[in-house]
Amino acid sequence: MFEELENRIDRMFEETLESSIFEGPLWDAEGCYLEPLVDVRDLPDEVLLTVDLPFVEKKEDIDIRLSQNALKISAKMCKPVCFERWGTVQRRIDFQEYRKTIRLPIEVTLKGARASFKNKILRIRLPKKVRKLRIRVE
Amino acid sequence: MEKVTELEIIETSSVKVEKPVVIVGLPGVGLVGVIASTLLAGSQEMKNIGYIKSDLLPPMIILHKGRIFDPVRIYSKDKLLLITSEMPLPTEIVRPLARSIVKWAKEKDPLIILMLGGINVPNRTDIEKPECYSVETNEQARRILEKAKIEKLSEGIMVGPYPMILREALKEKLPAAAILAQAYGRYPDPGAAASVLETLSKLLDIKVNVNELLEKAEEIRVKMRDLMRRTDQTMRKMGKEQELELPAMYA
Repeated sequence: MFEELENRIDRMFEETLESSIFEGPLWDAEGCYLEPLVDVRDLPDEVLLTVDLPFVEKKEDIDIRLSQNALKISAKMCKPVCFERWGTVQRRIDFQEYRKTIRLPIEVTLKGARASFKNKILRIRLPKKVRKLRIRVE
Repeated sequence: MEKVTELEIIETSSVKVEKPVVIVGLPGVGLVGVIASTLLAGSQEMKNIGYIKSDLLPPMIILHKGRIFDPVRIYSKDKLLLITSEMPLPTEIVRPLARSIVKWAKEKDPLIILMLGGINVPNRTDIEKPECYSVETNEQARRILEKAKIEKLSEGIMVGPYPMILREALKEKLPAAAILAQAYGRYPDPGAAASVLETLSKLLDIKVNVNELLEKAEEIRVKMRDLMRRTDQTMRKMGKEQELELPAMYA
């Protein structure tokens, strides 16, 4: 019961923090790249990230780098996606790349890290860097 | 002082049709409802006949090809009436919206109210062709849905505008059903929208060519990222993740 209460309080803090941080648009006109949609799950032994990468054809077009506690993902699209004269951007831009840096919720390790790419969804599994001690039940 | 408008359905062109099918396609899981509605309105050449007016909606208009549109709009063609939205609906508007839609639909004496959407499945990447499931208010709705041989959901939790519409329709004894395709929870899912439209085609004997949707799937996934992100934020505020929980009832 207390764990549930704790989780709820954590969620409330996260939501307050999220709402106070301005989330920019999912594109960068100067860099000509788009930000992909990302889902981050904090699982018991690992952090699981899934990234939606439409128009990325091959796993060779994807680059993943782990630096301290941030994961940098970039991927080349097989063809440019054009957006024309929207909002404050009154010109045509052809985007051909995704870029995203994700701050991870916990320290992870490269040892045992795996990534797979299927149906344009990139899945990255990062084991947590946690020292496990077994507690015996008496 | 100007009166606050909770919610009003405004018909800019009057619609008189016998036993219409009222279809609702709102932003939700996988944006299935919105993607399906957009193709439906286009392929059936539906006409914009109204919109939803409410002070509970964020102050927003949509610009498209230089023209101004309300974000929540109503379309019509023959016996089809379609309500769709280009913005996620905040929690505070969900109940007034459900009441207004059902009240408006009841005045039209509908054959059925159908809601198009997605159901979040964790293994969606492994699913080639998403299956559809239904949640219905009564036997009349079940008889209509039997044509498409959709499996009925029997246990679970539903969160959002559709369960509220189902609840209001149940109270008013109107036939209503949600048609939900297996979908990505947090990514636009044209494949799931295609499954929902194929089901709709079987139910209503209308022709909807989903090939266009499947050919443009990747383009749709790219172009709808912003709407998906905002919808995801709205769904989290409503507690949408509860739909993945195991039901508590044991008796």
